[in-house]
Amino acid sequence: MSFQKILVPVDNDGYADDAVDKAIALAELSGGSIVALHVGNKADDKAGQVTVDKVVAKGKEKGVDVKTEMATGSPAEIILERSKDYDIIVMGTSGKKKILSGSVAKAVIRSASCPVIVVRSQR
Amino acid sequence: MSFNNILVPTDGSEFTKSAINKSIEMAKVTGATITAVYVLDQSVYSTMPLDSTVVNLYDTLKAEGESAVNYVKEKCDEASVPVKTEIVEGIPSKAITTMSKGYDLIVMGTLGKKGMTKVLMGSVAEKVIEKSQCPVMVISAVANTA
Repeated sequence: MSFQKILVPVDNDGYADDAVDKAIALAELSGGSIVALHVGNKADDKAGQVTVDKVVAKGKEKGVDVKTEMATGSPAEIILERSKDYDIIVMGTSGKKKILSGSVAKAVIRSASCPVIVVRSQR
Repeated sequence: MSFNNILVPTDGSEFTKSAINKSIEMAKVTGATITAVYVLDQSVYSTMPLDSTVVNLYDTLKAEGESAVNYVKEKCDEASVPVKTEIVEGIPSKAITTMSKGYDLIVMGTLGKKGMTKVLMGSVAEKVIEKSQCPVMVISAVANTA
């Protein structure tokens, strides 16, 4: 079955919310599971933990398994590194200079080892 | 949040094949219908004087378009995925984003058919992402060979 391992990079500003919904919808159809990845600047990122926990809760409502990963460093670099281990990435973009900015999405779509669904935030 | 209608722009090049394959994979998982679209790029001939050269070029592009969308139709038929085909005229990124209102997902690659278009096709995908009314799934050149 396709699209089993779904990677969803998330940020604290809500620009990934629509991407999260889309990823959960896909997981429901494929029977797949999600890893919510937060890339921040520091270790022990409490806001980041809250963000990924919200994704777990959303997944639970729909019967979708969500695991979480907290990382620090360059979002684009880390997402690209991870892309080898996933069937698909579902990410948001705000088009502004935030964690999920247009430039991160651009870098990821250029070089990801798996397909990338970009869900532009409605915010 | 559904995946019922998938738009697959194609230019008939080798590079579109992995995007087509992925869109079929997606359609099989989600039960979607695929619409294959070829955008007859007006910018190629719109600045040329209206003579037989232009007509020939137009016909060539039209034929290329028909072949491109028919390839997708064949692949979908093989996979029992419902499919429609369209040929529209315009500037590719604009035409695709205009159509995006009617779809749940667009699937495209990042390499185009001309050598120098290696950079440009990536920018078509980027332009579509910026303006699309629906999510866009992009298969990179790296994912292409994976």
